[in-house]
Amino acid sequence: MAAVDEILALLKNEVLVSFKGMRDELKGMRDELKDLNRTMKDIREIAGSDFAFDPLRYVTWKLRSGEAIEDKGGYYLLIAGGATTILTMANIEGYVWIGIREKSGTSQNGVFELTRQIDEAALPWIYIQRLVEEEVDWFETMPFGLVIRETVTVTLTNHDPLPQWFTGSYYGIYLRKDVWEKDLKLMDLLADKYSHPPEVDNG
Amino acid sequence: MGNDGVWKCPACETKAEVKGRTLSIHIIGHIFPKHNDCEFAKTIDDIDFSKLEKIGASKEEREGQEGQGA
Repeated sequence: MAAVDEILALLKNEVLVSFKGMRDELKGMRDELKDLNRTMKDIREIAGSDFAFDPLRYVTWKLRSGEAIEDKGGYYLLIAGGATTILTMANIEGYVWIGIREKSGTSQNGVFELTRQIDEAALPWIYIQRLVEEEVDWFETMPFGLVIRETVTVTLTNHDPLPQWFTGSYYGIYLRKDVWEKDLKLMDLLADKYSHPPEVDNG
Repeated sequence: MGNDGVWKCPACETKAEVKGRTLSIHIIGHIFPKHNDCEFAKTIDDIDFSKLEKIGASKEEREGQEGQGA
């Protein structure tokens, strides 16, 4: 019996040592999995920010979620010789206007003096002394570049003695202002976090 | 100037200020004109002001009234 007890004790000790080894090994694996999980989370966040920085994917995402609505239209202004027309276009309430593509046409090139003012900016965004037909693509600057928060104002003076017309047609996106502000903050947070990679301990 | 002041189109509610030969139109959204026969879509020389509602005085008229009141 003594021999049996001795054998059992030895086995027990062996099992305990073996368990301890396994436990240490499992703990190591668990730590590695945690590291991996953290890395995956970072990769997901970075991939998410890439997604938001890509204009087309961002717009598609926001249109699908209902946070943005498409906006198509245009304007036609008939201006007497020597007269000025100022057209102030306000966003529908609670929305910013982004991703705009605009094409303008005139009945006579070189007779209009055009100034475009965005929101309450001190300086004009565009000033053209003798306008010819133009095409403006603001799409690539969105959603965090050129954003019309409230109004865009077009001032046109017809320097021709005869009446002339000016027309603008566009495609744009109305994005909910609160969504845009929230996404802007998220982008800032991500930029802060990932523009400076953490220091690597090379041992 | 005779037609100086703030005017409103009764059909589409679009508001515009006339000052000399300058017409300042204010709209919500980015479509103008809102309907085919909007007076504001004509040249300033051709607008029929009898079809519009005058809703405010021009800046000069307002300043003049304030000056008289003082």
